[in-house]
Parts: sequence; C-alpha cells; structure tokens
Amino acid sequence: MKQFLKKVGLFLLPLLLLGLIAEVLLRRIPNEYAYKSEYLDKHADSVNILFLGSSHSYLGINPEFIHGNSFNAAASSQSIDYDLRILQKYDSKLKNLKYLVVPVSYFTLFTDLSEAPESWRVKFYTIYYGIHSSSRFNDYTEMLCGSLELNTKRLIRYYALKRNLLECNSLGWALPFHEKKDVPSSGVEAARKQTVAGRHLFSKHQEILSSIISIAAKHHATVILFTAPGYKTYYNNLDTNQLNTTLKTVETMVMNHPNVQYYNLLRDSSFTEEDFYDGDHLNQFGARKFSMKLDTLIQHLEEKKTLAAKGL
Amino acid sequence: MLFNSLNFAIFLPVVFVLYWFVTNKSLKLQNLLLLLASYFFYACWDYRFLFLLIFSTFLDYFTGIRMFDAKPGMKRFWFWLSVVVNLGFLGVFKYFNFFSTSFAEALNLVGFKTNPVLLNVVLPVGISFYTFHGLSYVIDIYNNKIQPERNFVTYSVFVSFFPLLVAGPIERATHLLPQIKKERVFNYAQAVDGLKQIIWGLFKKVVIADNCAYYANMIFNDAGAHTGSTLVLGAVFFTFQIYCDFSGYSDIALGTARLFGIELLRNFAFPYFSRDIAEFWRRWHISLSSWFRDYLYIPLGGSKGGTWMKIRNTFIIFLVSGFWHGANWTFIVWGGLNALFMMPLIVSDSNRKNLEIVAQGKLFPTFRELISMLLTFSLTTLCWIVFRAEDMGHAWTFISGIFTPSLFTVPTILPVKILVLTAIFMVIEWVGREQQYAIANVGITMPRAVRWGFYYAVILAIFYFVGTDQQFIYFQF
Repeated sequence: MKQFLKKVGLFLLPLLLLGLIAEVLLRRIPNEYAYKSEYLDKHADSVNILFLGSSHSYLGINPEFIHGNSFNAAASSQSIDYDLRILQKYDSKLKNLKYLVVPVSYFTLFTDLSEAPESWRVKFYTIYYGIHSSSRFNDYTEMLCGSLELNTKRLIRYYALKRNLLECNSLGWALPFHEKKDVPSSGVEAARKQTVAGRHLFSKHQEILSSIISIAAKHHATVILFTAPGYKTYYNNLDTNQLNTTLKTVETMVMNHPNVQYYNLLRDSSFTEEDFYDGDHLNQFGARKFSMKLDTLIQHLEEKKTLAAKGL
Repeated sequence: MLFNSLNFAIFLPVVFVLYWFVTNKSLKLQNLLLLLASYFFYACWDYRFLFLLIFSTFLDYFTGIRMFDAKPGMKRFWFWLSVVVNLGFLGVFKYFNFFSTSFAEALNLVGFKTNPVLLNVVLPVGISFYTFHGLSYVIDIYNNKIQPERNFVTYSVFVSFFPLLVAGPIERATHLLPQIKKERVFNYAQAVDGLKQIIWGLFKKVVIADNCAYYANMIFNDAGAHTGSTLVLGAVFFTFQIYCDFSGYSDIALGTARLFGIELLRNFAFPYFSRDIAEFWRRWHISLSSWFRDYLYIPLGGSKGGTWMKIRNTFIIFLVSGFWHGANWTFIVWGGLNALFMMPLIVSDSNRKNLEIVAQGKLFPTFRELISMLLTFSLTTLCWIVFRAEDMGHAWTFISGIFTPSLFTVPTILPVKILVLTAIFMVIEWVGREQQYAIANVGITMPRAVRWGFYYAVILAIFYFVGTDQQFIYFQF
C-alpha cells in the first residue's frame, strides 16, 4: 500500500509541478479583468461615470467619447449578479460616482454567468477581482478552467511571441476585433441563443437590479439603464414574451426609483449594418456613435441636475 | 458527481485513504464506509432521490428474505410484490408520460379528442440500473440460485456501490455479493491496473466522446441543412461519442472498483471490431445484454424451440432492450432494427460464429474480416442515427438526407483534429484488443520511463484536448 501511494505520488509530482508553474505564468499574463480590478483599486474614488454589464457595454461604450471621469468595467458575459458584486466591492471607494450605466439586455434578467456556457470566466472574478462567490474549486485556478490547448496557446503567445494579450484600452473599452462576422445571420443565431426556456433567475435578478439601484442611490448617483442597439435580424427574432417581461420590469424600476432613467436603443434606426460587429454587438464605429449618444444624454441629465440645484 | 469532475478527483482519494487506512481492520466498517460514500455520491445529484434508492434497496432486501423463508404460495407473493413495485417505480418515473401521450394520440386517431395526463417529474439518475440490480437478485432467489443476504449493509453496498450506481455495469448478486462479503486485501497490481483503466476511461470520455459530441450535436441539431456526406460524418461522430462516452464511463467504474479490491463485470469488449451484429451485441453493454439473455431470453425458451421461437425471442429482447433505454419510439425502432439485422444470422444459425476477438494473435485482419467489420460498423451507425434522433421524423430527415447526390461531396464540416485523434484512438484500441481494455498491457515489458512517458502523454492529452463538457449519455437511462 505504502509503495503504491509512494509511486502514485512520484508519478503525479512532475504533473503537479508543471501545473503549478503554468498556473503562476498564466496569472502573470495581463488580461482585462486584472487591469480593471487594478484600475478600480487605484482610481475608483475619482470615477464619475461607471459602466457595468456584459459585452453590450464592453464593446459598445468607449469612455474616450464621454465627458468626465468614466470607466468601463463591463466584460463579456458579465451577468448582473457580477455587476452587483463589483459594485459592492468598490462601494466604499466610489466617492464621486454620479452615473452608473447598466445595460438591461434581452437576456439580462434571465441568465447567470455561473450557469452559462461561458462559466469558465468566473475564474477571472475569483482570481483577479477577489470576488469569491463560487463554490467550485476550478473557478479559483487558471489551469483547470479551459483546456491545456488554450492555456498553452496563451503562454506561447505571451512569453514566446511577446504578444500583448490585453484586450481593452486604458478606460476599459474592448479593443476592436479583427474578424468580421456575418451580421444578419449572427443576429438570428444570437436571438435564438439568448431566448431562455426557464425563468428561475428572474425574481433573483430583479432583486439584484434593485440592489444596484439602492447602492447608486446611497451615492446620490443616477442609474442609467439602457438596451443596446441591435441589428434587425436580432430584434426581429426575439421572443416577444421575454422581451416584454424585461421592458415591463425596467418600466417598473423607473417608476419606483427617482434616480433611474431608461433608454431603449434596441431598434434605433441610426445604427446601420456598418455599425455592427455582429447581430447584437457594435463595432468601433457603432461604439463611437453609441458612446456619443450616451454622452449627450448624460450631459443633458447633468444640465438638468445643475438647473435643479440652482432652483431653476 | 461526475467521474470527470474535480469533485470526484477529491472524493475518490479521500474514500480510498479512509478505506485502506482507517477502516481496513474491519470488513464491516469498510462496507459501511462504501455505503456512506455511495449515498453521498448519489446525493450529490439530488438527495431527494436517495430515499427512493434506499426504499428500493430495502424492498428487495426484505422481500428476498421473506421469499426464501416463506412457504411456496407466499414465495410467489413476495416475488411478485418486489417485481411489481420495482417495475412500478420505473414505470411511473420513466414511462408514464410516454404511455399517457401514446394513449391520448391513439384516442385522437379514432376520433376521441383528449389531452394526455402528464407527470412533471425528473427521472431519478440510475433508476434503470439499480432497479435491474435488485430484480436480478430477487429473481435469482426465487429460482433458488442464491440465498438472500441477511446483512442490510452488505446488500446495500451490492445495490449502491458508487462506481456502478448510476450507469452500471449491471451487476449480479452471484458475482458481486461474495466479493463484498469477503475480506479484501490491498493488491498493488490490481490498484495500478485500476488507475490505468481510469486514465484510459477519462481519455475516451473527455478527449474522444466530448469532442465528437460537439460535432455530432451540431450536425444532428440541424439535420435538414447539411449535405449527405456531412450527415454521414455526423452519424460516425455520434457512433464514436456513444461508445467512448459509455465505455469510458465503464472503464472508470471498473478501475475505481479495482482500487477498492472489487472486480466488476466487464461491460465492453471492443464492439466496433465485431464481424457481425451478434458479435457486436456480445461485446456492447455486456452486462445488460447478458441480463436480458438470462432473465428474459432464456425464460422465454431461448433458442431451444426452433427457428421461429428464436426469431420471436430475439425481437422481444431487442424491443424490450430498446424500451429500457427510454420512453421514445426511436429507442424501440432502434431495438427493432438491431433484431432485424440479427435475422440472417439467426435463420442461418451462424450467430455464434465469431466468438473470439478478430484476428487473434495477428497484427492485421484478413480482407474478409475487414469487410465484415466495416459492414457491421455501418449497420451499427445506421442504428445509432435512429437512437440519437429526437423522434422518428428527425431520424427520417437525417437518413433521407444522406442518400442524396451531396453524399459524394466533401463534408462541409471536417474537423481534422478530431478525426486524427479518433484514428489514433482506434489504432490503440486495435493494438490492445486482446486485453481487458486497450492500454492494459502497454509498455508492460518496457522500462519504467517509457511506460510512464506513455501515461503522461495520455494524461496531457486529456488536459490538452478536453472537449466541451458533456453529460454522460447513459445517465438519462
């Protein structure tokens, strides 16, 4: 028995060592989550406008086009529960927060990162943000999330080919993708994928949205909820029931909370096929257009606030 | 708790250490530990169904004893009580909605408009397996083949031993119970063999099955949109997916049991190297095939009553076997097709022609053997299309889509990496086909460095080529 355990230990030792070294090296590769966490650690107190949410925010809002100190803390597949966790983590540091911009997309109230096909991204929050919400051990390691093939490629690209793997700019906006997708067909596909069968997360996510609004209210900040522009093949293929439930929920939030504004740009006709990366994501041109629109809205709200403060 | 999960990678060593270091002085304690570990393992899926498992275990334990102690008249009563309750549970959880829907459809056909009464219940994982476990025990006592086990813990370990609990192999009391009752001594060679089989099972599941599943799902989910050649490739991918998924699971189960000094029944013996359908069924899901042979085919008269009886009995066991897999017409048709493909062998009385593994002791098969294997593989693949389809309409769309001029074009989906991996896998399987599992004897006479090098390569391949996470197919049965 002892011989067996000794040999198994001896056999596993090189594998464990290799895994450990790879884990350390992988964690040293810059990534947008580590960058955003570090940015917020240092600058959260000076942020006036904070963008949260999924890829609709991450790809669609470039803070370079927004007046004031703003930062995009959104990420691909970042669900609303992680928006809340990020907000909770930096709650005490967000001393100058004026606007909190959160997307309420077609899927926001019904999906959760931990249950999504991209659940491997949970590791980014546990490792780099220090948000320890997961009970799965895998989510605390780089090596056990994703295949060795993927991790080897990352190691080679960064350490051997000296590539920069950081995929966002200094203000958190996603750097433009090089590949171009077929916008019409990807719109249909995205609508199909984002239509959910079960609604077990709905009430939980309503509460999460309320909590986000409450935190913002505590900071006397305005919450700007928005639905990002989509291509026609996307919004025409959405399930009416799921979409209406989302819109009604948001309307209720706006009615019940004076610090909440909502803007639905889903069918905004000023966005054409040239503005989209795929059926439900904007490219750099669309992001510029969308960010400028948001900026105008924020400036308008700011003016109203100033006038109200002056009693006019 | 999945075999290919980190949870199991932690659970197994913990149970192993407790088993050999803490409870090793007492067989009773070892069995109690196995039982508690097995219940924990099962409860990780859904603790509520644990009560059903315990009830089913107690029922067979109790009726087994009562049957043995009873007078002839009452013996039959206890026997049927166990059979009816066991099959009743299976019927309610697995088949109620199917029968209800089929009945309502039949009434609608003759003009009575009615809506089926449906139960909103989840199928308890492993119910088909542990029910058959219990049934074999009760039937064997009824037929005076065995005596009942009077120790409840011992009997419960027989039913619930975690490596076989959710997807088999379907054990027999005559094989497993004596091992549970006997004091177990740690056997180095057996444990090493177990680890090797676990590694090979993981390779089959994680690398081959899960990667093939990705493409099989893609092609099956949109069958109408693909060319004939792509559909053929999709069917082949599913053929490898189901084999590597299920036999991979069985390998892990057998290997895990060996770590605890227990030998389970072999479930697969390189079925895709079979030269005819009869041989395929002697090599595929062996524990289920032999269950049906012993408890259905032979009681029905087996092959003693001439050709017509053999034909009838063959159809019966294949149709029941199909139905065992699930409440869907696709499974029944799949069973029927397999029975149909058996007919030439039954009629010509050549169904027991190929009993040994193909090309024994040789490197290559003969041309005739190769053609036989390819033909059997093709027939099996055709059957798997029906098995995998959502319904018969889907199966028809898929099969009719194959036989179009586009069959002779290059497939639109051609994942070279997966095809190469599958080819390498089949070469390893071919080389190791005379062993219990393909890598059982790899490098056994070579220096340790070479041997370990091979195992490292397999383990690294598991991590390197890990496919998209897929549930084990047979959990749904």
